[in-house]
Amino acid sequence: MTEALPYPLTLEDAERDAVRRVRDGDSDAYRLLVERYQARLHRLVGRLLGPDHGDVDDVVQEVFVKAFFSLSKFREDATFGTWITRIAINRARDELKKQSGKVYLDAEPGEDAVQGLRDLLTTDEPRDGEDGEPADSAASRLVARTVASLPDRLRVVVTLKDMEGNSYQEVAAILKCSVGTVKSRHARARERLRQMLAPHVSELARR
Amino acid sequence: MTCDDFRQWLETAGAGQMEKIPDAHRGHAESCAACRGVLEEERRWLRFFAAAPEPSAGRPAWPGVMARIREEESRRASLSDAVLLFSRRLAPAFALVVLLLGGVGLWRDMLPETREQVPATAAMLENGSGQETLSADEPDAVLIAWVGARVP
Repeated sequence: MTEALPYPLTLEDAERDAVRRVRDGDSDAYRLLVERYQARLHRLVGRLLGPDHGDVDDVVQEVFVKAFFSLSKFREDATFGTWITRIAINRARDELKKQSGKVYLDAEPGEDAVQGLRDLLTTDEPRDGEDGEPADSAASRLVARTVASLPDRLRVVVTLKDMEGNSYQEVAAILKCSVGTVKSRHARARERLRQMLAPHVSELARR
Repeated sequence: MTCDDFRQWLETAGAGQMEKIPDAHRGHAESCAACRGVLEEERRWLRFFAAAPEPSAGRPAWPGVMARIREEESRRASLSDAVLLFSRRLAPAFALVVLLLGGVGLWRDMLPETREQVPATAAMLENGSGQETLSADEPDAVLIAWVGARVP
């Protein structure tokens, strides 16, 4: 029979407990943390590295290994999630620096992609492209390439705020900077996106 | 509800909240064209980012992470073993060197004090013009002699 806990165990409690156990040398307790964060980190790293990057799995594994051996430096002034997200962003930035070239938005992204994006911005109804491929799939690639062509600092903020759904405060905690800095970078990022898409899509232009 | 209240709410509202706007905020947006424009723009941005492809789920990370951790631990362990082995062999050798140097130092202290002359300095003093008297006690004697020979 298992002993009843004096208080209900929340996910945060379980996470703190796992961190303590790993620090005490129980490396198997790390499994709980890996399984809790792998999907989130995989999505984040995949978005930061862009659609053309090969092995996101490998980068994510490296993030977990680095976090494991750095756990003694984790001061619990942030949650484990915030801390490991920061490690993942830094690792993704290193990876981006290693990439041979920057991602540039195609000068002519293709009529299907542009039309698909226009439809997405104005209606929730999907539309089929001329070659049978769903138009929103071509539009998806256009969105991914546009975001990937942003400078690193702006791309990180847009990814965390607009794609991952974090608040300004959460983004500021992850990036260890002020909310004002996050807001300013977020506004600059959207302005850049607007400029890049302006020749093709007028729906995002300021009115 | 003021425009500031509305825009503050908009800043914190996520994609889910856009579909169910609280009545007070909806009422404000209907009566204020500027805020209605901002709301529409925010909705377009949300649709834009929602169109980004979802990265594939990826392989379960744990087996790979565990293997890498074990590999790194054994690498660190073998490194520390090597350092330990080296230091075990190095420590007696180091102690021997210290003892030898200490012995030599003691032996030299026990000898009667003799004035030493640097051989090179002595040679220069012997071969010099003899106009100036250079003492071997003077630490810069060699340098002064060399400079003096070149400066008119």
